[in-house]
Amino acid sequence: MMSSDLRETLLAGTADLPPSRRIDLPRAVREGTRVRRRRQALTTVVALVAVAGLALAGPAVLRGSLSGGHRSAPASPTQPALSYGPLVVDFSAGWLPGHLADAAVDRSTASGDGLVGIEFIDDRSWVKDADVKITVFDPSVRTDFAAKELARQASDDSTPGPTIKGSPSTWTHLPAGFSGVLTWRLSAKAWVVIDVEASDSSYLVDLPETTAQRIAENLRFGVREPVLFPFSVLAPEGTLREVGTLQLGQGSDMLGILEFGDNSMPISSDHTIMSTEAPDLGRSPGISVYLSPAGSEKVCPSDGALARTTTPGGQEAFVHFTATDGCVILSPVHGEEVRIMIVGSSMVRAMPLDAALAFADTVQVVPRPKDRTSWVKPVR
Amino acid sequence: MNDLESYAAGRIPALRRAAYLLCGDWDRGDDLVQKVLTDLFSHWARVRRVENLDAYVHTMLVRRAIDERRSWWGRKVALTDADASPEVVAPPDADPTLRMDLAPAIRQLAPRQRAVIVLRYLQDLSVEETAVAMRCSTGTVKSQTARALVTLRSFMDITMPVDAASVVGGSER
Repeated sequence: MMSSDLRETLLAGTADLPPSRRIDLPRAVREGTRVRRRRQALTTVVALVAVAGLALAGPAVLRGSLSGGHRSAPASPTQPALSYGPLVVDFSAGWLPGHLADAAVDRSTASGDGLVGIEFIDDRSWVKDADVKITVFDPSVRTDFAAKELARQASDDSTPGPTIKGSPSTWTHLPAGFSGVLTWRLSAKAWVVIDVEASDSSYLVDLPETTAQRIAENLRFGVREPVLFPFSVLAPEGTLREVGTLQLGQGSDMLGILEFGDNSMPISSDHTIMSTEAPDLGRSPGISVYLSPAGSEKVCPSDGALARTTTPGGQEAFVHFTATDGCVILSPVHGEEVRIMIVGSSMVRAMPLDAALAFADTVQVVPRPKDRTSWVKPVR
Repeated sequence: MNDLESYAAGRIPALRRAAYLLCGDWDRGDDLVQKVLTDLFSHWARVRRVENLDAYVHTMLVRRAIDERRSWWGRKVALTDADASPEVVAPPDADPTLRMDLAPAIRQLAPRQRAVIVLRYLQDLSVEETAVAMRCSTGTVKSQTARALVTLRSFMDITMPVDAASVVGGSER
């Protein structure tokens, strides 16, 4: 063979592809979609069921959840004393595989309904190599329904998992990559769901199920870590309270969402938070503060024409208000754009345009929003 | 067929070529492509946010290939294959000289050497991009590239790329 460029040689040597009966795109779509939906189902179903359980638990529990304070679960010798509140995560990962131990929490949510989740993603390269999502459910709500739903959802692929600290678990293997979901019955009413996903096994010290078990065994409870944000706001007046919080990772468009509601809307669990899908922004009744990259198109949920105005503090703002929706978009602050979305007629009544503009003035974005070390407690 | 399916359908030939070079035969390479396609559709929410999708998918392919070689299953299959010395299946219409040279040459390369060749010379990634994809230092990419090229030159008459020639004989990190 004559001298040639290596790339040309490689292309020429593989130019004529032999027919393949081993590649089946429709099958890849089916199996990949099934894996994705299974993963979502195992997390979102529990969230939905936890919400249903909360509703069944009655007004007393709701008041406790939404009082702004933090409750402690009734302690027992086998039950960790978990406390819940919208701005606290009461557990931490004592051990994580590989580089995830050094990774910051990519997103966390602590909702007023007792659903608390944290997720770690190592995304230092193009491919997000490993992803561990830990979700803990409030032991004060009825999750026996959740157990049945989980069992039903996972029946096809699940097997009995290890006994962890004296409590049973279930393991559901997911065929794509190295992934699966460990569902651990922490105590009579509390559940922990650990979703482990890695693009290759080198990220895991062992099999995915062994990795999940080790994460479960090393969970630390009672740490009461505050959920930090790249911005803070002054708590709104009246009956509005924070009912849900969310941080999204830097791979997402959003840097943070802070949600407020009132006692008439106890549930603010955005189920999509715990899924891999983008959240359905701004459609749940409530008042939300979003921080996202500047430069994106200014769009309000109601798609109405934006009017230019000025806040009482002198900031340029774009607004659109109707009887059922309101939206305030501030000019970029430290490279990020602040949006306040008010969804639902009761919320518009609670925070009309003037109040929303004044509320917008209370938003303080940290000078370096993408630097997690500078993040702060979101409600002043 | 949605956008991602259309994309995947269009990328299959390129993925098959890369997988063939990574695995050393078409059948194993096609199995690898099938797994990567399944992974792709199971992670579509992430995939939607990727700017350089070609690089993303080829990184998935390369990591899958390296990882499967590391695994117990991969070692077992590789050992079995080596013992049996199976004929590499080449496309019937390919240049017979190329078929004769390329297949045995790439089979002489270690998995990571195949990976650097695919990423750098088939996918045209830079040393830095290749290092990120392979989760190693740029020095390792250069040394693996140099070793791979030396091996390939012993089987094929190829011109040494300028950047690779400069690191042959250099210190390995």
